[in-house]
Amino acid sequence: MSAPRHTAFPGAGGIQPYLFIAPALLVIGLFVLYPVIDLFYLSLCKANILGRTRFLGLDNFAALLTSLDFANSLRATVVFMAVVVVVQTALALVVALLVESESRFMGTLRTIYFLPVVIPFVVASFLWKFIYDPDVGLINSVLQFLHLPRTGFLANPSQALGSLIAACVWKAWAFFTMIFLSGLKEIPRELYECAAIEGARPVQRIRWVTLPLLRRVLLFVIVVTTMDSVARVFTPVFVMTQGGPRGVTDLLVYYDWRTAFRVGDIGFASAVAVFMFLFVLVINLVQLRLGRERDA
Amino acid sequence: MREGARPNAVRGGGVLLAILVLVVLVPMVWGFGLAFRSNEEIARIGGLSLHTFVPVQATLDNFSRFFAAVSIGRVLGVTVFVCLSVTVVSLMVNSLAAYAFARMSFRGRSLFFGLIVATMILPIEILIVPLYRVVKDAGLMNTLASLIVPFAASGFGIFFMRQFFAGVPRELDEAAVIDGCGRTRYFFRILVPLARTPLVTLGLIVFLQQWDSFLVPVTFISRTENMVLQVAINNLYAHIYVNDVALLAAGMVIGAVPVIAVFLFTQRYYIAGITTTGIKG
Repeated sequence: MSAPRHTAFPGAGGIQPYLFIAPALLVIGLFVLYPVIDLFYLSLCKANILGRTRFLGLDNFAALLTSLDFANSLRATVVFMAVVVVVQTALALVVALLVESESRFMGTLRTIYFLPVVIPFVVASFLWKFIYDPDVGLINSVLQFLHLPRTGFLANPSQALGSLIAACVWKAWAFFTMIFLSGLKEIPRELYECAAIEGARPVQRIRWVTLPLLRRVLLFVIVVTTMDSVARVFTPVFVMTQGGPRGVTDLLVYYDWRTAFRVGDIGFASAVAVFMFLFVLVINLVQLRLGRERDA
Repeated sequence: MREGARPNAVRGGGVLLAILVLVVLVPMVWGFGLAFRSNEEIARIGGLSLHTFVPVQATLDNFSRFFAAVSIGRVLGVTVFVCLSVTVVSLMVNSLAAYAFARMSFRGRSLFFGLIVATMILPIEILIVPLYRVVKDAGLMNTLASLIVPFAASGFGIFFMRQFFAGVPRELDEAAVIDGCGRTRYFFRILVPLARTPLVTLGLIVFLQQWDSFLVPVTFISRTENMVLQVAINNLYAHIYVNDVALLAAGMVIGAVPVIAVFLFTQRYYIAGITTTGIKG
């Protein structure tokens, strides 16, 4: 942040600025900053939901390393994250390049694509739960029409994670198309004209003009998608699968929640949350590092 | 497609865009359409025909059943109250702080602002356990306050409004001083009206975010009289009506239609907010 410049008001300083920020600081301090400290503390404690806590040290983290449930949950999370980051980002980028034009028609397309982003996640989750339904689901109706065998999707251990991923990508991809579009708007028209004069074909223009100038936006999208795909997927898991079948969709964020609020072990759950946060943070730092190096 | 693109690329792109329109719309048309048919009819769908999408005998029966099952008046009242409270209170609290960070000099300014902005990278999902403890210790479990007070300020909101206030010309400050306008009055009478567009944008984002909220209310609220819509829909499924697809579809329509309407009428503001900040609702 830039250094405070001369402000016009006489008697600047004093207590007034603190009165202006006090309500915000109080709320954020009590409901975000204090909980961060408490989370780290709890992760080092034997603690249950009823309130008894006893300091343990690193035992919860040691227990994580040997827990089969945790290993399963981490594996599912990594698969989910990797697929969503790659597929969703690629889809969002390609569509952004295609609907960039300011025409009315493209505007209508953008609005349609954005609808899944707008509808509540609970609603979208039930929608896809029904679409995947073995008895009345839309996809099974199509399969039956094509004389293909019906299948379980969310009920089938080998299909559930993929089905969950498809539903989540359906819900979110267009949001990132909008981010890419805002980045595309920043690219000066003259560069495209130059490229055209130099005889660049559209594909070359995208490769040598658009993509390099979009790198920072792309990096931002990848970083945000990584965090979202690990942390912001509680609702679809809760509504669609509750972590099943046989734990194949038991993503970390849901595993954390059920350990705390179904099992009651908030010490262990906090260790899961700390791990989850540091895990994403490290991946984000690596992504930013790689992205910057390429920039130089 | 820009002019001069090869026909192949154009055609390929056009096909992709058309497929995506279907992929987006067909599930919604089918799923929301379930709300207008009976369970008996839904059970007989099977295969593909016109009646996969169009009801044989359209009915509004599911809506009256849904309204009765969740006590719709109370649920909507609670939901709208929570969404509006968070929106109004957070706009005030965030703007005040944002103005101070943008235009006042005081000790600790960078430190406080840095701390607040840093909280933007923390998803609520990570903090739900310690947040639960704070809410419980404050005696707020099962109260609407537990859904409102923790969200009365946010790093994102403060950052968003600071961007705006920092861009207001300084000459305006000086003019206000010359006219003998105090700082508090200057803020409320001049800056806030000036900030109408960003305030509407931020308000929309916050409102839709709260309407969508599920993790927090499902964790903090178990009493029926304080249940918000998204949790009420889920609880119908979880507790009583597991196989009542038609009833839940009616709930889906009620949950989605208000936000789709708000979005269609305000998408200019809403999309502007997203593209300048990259934060999801």
